[in-house]
Amino acid sequence: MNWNIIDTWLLVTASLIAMACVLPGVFLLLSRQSMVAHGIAHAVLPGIVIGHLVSGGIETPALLTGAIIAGILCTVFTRFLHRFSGVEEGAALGISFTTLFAIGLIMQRLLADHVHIEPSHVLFGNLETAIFQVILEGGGVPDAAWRGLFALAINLVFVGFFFKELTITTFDAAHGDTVGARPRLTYYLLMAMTALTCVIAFEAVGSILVVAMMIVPPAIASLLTKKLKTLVALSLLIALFCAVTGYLLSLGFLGDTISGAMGFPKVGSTNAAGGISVVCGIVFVATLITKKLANRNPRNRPIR
Amino acid sequence: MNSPDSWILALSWLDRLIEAVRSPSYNLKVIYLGVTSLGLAAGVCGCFLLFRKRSLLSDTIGHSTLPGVCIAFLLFARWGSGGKSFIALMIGALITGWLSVRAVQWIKNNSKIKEDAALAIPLTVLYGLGVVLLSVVQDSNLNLQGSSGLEYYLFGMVASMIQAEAIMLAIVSLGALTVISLFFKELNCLSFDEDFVASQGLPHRWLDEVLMLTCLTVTIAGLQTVGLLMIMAAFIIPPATARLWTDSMPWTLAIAGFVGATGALIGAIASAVIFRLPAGAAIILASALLFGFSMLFGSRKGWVVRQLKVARLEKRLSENQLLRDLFDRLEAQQKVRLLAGLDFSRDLAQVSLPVHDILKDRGWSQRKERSVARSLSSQNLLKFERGDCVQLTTQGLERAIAVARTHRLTELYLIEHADVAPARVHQYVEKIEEITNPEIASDIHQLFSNELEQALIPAEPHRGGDTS
Repeated sequence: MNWNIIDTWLLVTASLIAMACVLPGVFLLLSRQSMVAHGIAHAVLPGIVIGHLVSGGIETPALLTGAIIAGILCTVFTRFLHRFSGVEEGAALGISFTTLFAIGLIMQRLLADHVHIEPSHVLFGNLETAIFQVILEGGGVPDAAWRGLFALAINLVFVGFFFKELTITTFDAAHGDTVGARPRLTYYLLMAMTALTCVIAFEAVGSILVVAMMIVPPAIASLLTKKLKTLVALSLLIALFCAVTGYLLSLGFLGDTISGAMGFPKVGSTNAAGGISVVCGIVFVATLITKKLANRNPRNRPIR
Repeated sequence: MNSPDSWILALSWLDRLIEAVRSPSYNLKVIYLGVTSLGLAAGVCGCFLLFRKRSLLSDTIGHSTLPGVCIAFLLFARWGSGGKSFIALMIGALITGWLSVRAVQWIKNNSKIKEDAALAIPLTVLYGLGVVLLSVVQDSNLNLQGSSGLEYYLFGMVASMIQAEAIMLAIVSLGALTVISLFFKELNCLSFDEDFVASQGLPHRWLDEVLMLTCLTVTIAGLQTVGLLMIMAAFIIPPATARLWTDSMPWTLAIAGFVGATGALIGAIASAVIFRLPAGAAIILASALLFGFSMLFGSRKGWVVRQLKVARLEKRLSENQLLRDLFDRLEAQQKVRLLAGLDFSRDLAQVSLPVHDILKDRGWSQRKERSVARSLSSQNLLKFERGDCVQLTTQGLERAIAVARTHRLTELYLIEHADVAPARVHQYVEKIEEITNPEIASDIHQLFSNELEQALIPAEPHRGGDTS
């Protein structure tokens, strides 16, 4: 296993993206919208295709704008189906995001055939190729790392600036309304932030694993603390830990263990984003079990 | 459509549409059979998920099958005869899919994590594991045959469906429908009242397991052929559509099955007609269009039906308001005696009342006044007189008295039992009148039956009049 400059950049990018994902994730988790993130991650596809058709590139603001609009449309549709026709919320979300994704898929096949946005690429993502191209073209900081930093910075600024509003909206939207915190607006801003993060991250980690990075670290942190600020900080740390560990394991350990267990020859590195979410899952299960065991000891049991 | 080219394209589509519907090729027939039976089974099974607010569970199950498929593929490549074995992949998918259902339950039981995250965590983590396994499967060191197509199971390949797959889908669908019809009554109870099922001594855990396994099997059977997202949509959209039409359980199942099958068939035909249209996405879109149609025209919650209901309610309310206002005027003129047992109808027959004058406080438009009055006269409750005046008929008077009585008793009830200020009670009752149904009215009548022994109608409580 040879460590080189590419690995360093991959590690940095993965950590930046993981930490960027956590920030909207905390509030999505607390306001019981985890599956909404999953829906948005799919629903951005038509926005990306339209953004691409309009601009002709794949790294333009048009793409981001299209994706944010599509992501917000998904939540608006969900709300509308729920309010207008009394469709149960989960089903409403399922209807709106599968339909938007289908529209995106059809547009991509029929209109934008020259687009090299493969739906499978959107869903699986590939950190390695995202970095590799740039490095080959001549050094410097790869674009993917810049974008990860950009997402993290934007999310940090957003959360820092609207922390109070987000807190009120998350826990008591009605109260938020009375004190003028604009819960509706805050909600849609949060959704926009989610869509933005999804789009920036999907290229590197794939749309479904974006959701793993958004939801699982805050869920782990929520097992450990009840304070919101601690929760955010802890989630960031856990995300960083999972990203680093997951990436390092993906270099060889995970793949070799799996193929070794089946009696196959050694394989090279495996998909890093997948490795990161597996580590997230392991940490989650470990935390939950540890907590259960600790609670079994009567001295540690919280007084109810 | 202004260039000749687009005309030719449209004509060729029409041509192919006619061909696809009237004399489909053998391949197309196979596809029709496969997707229609899948749509039917998924629609029916999806109802039970919807009833239990678990629609998105199909999402979790679907994504969680990826690691199972990969592991089965690896195991089979190592110890099996090589190549892709459909059955092996299905069993692998079944195991991890089932695992994800257990995991959701485990997280919910053992922590304060809510339903949404309990669904999202197994989904993303198992899917991540699947992605890792996929990169092992596709590693060039292993050089496994047939591994390159594995990732496309997420999007499905309807066009390449073979006869054996279609027959398998038909059998799975038939099996699922059989299980559901066998346990229909039990599943029906389970969907709405789990505790009741348990209290009846039925094995509700076991029933739950049967239901989940049925859904799992249908999901997994569909994955390879139509793809993950389409199978999810097939579980969610048809049941939601059916709920817009009916609230009876058997009808919901029937309509969901019908919508699922029809949507799948339309989607398959469309993808046969339009070159490059992906069938899975076309099926989702066709079902979504059926859903949209039902949002407008559904017989239970459709927009049109609700508008009609609102209009009917509004009409009845305005009729009652007009009758009550007429009655108030009669009372003010002391034409009605409020004591029971008096024959009130005789001396009333001659009184004509100026409608417009009476209704001027309501702020109704002239058109509304006239249409309400006309509707009452068509029910033979009032007669039009000379000028702008009307006269209540005997039936009209009876109904007016009944309406006024309920109204005033409700006012009394609110003053005495709900602490509503007398000065505001009138507006209040006007507001809640639309939800006051005959049962509530008769309850209130019962409540006051002792106090109002002789008075047929109490005076308006907020005006403090005298009943005698």
